[in-house]
Amino acid sequence: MSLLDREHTIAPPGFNRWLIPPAALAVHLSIGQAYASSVYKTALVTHFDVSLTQIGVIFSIAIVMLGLSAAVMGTWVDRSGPRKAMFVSALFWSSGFLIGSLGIFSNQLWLVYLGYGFIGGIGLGIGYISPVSTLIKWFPDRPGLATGMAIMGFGGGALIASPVSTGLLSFYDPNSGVTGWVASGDAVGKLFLTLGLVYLAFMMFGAFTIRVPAIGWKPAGFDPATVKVKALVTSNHVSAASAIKTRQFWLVWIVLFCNVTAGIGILEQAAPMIQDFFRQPDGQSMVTAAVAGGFVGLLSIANMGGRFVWSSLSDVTGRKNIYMIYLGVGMALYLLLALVGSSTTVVYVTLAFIIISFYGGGFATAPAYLRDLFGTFQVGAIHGRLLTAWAAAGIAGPLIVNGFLDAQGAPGELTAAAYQPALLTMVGLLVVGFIANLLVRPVHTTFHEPPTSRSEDLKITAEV
Amino acid sequence: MKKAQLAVVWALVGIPLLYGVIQTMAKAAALFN
Repeated sequence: MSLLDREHTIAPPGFNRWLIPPAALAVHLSIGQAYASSVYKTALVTHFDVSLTQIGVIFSIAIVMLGLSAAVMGTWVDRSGPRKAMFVSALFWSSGFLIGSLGIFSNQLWLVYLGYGFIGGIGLGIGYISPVSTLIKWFPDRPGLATGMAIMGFGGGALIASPVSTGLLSFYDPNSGVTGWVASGDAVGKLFLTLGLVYLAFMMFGAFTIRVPAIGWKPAGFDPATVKVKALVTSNHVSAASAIKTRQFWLVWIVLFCNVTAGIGILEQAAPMIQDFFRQPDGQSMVTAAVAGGFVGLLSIANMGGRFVWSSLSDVTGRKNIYMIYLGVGMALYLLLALVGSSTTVVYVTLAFIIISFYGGGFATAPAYLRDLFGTFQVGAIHGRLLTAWAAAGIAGPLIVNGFLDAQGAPGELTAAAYQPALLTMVGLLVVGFIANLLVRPVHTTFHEPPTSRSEDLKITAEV
Repeated sequence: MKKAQLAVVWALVGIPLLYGVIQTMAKAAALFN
């Protein structure tokens, strides 16, 4: 296992730091498959002869495990280094698929829960945070750009997995040409086997490409003093254990929670929502199911693009200011969506596109915000703990939207007006997030690690 | 050699990502028809 240890991943002099983002992307593009599970959802419902909710539980377990494992394993990831973390993540993620395929072939749903949901979910959590701290250390001059590139992969993974999975299901199922075709369980099992092996290879490529910078390394021409003079950017360091005792951590937690809850509410309901917004008096929607599917695809691009574009821009604007935009402009956009979103499809699509780009941007900018506030010492572990906000938002967002919609009428009969209470609630949430962001101040010096002990920690970390 | 390595590594992640974006854009084109 020594090949995986941090000391074997220290980059030699002259190493090109631009090799690091693709290594991180290899992991995030793989685990981003989690958002493409709708491709085989109906096939699993038919195969196991269970409800959609029972199949949806697979994805829910995976996301809960993502949040939990990122929070619990964050310190281990920071201590062990990115290669070991990516390696372990690859084993978990791949095993999840292989055990899941066994469950499908043997008709045992609990094995899919255990495999893809529980074990795969641990791979998701470790994989998500594994390259973050390393990227920030390689790109002290552009941390937003660096984390944006990697976390963009989590949005992009579904864009790849969705068409590839559809193609593979057709390839594995001899009945794929039949009208109203739903893939067989056998085809989904084979798809899981294929994805498990391909993702294992792809993530291993990332694990064995990644390197950590040598202690004291800095990019050519980079003057750390230029970073230090920016407001809210510390040159000190706070441990993960201390960070969660600070007001700043919980304010950023609220910011992320509010931003994600608002975005997830729209994302989860995207296809029926656009149809409902343009429902005619005769009950028919102007927007067909195919067009609604295209809209969902467009939102995936907004989600991915926002992660890269807005996070990169945060290097120029500063993290606090960019969250002011996500939340402040976001409020105005949600309000417009509620009031004039049904006027034309162009207005609706434009508003939703920008809103979801802010949702993605919020995810990708968070690690750089944490680095500004708490330093680089245990930023991966702190980020892992922050991701519990995502898990909480994943429950709250759909609950809010579905709760309001259930009270307004039955699916297939709703109109734009039915969405107003939910959208206005999201505006209120964004106000809360906006205020929380306004209250973020530099972390008090009492939470800073003593310079000597931190140096020792870093030395030990590097020598393990 | 270093530039070639960089190109290969970026191609390994860039080509699948580009494929995904093109496929999604093609699907999204239905919105504007």
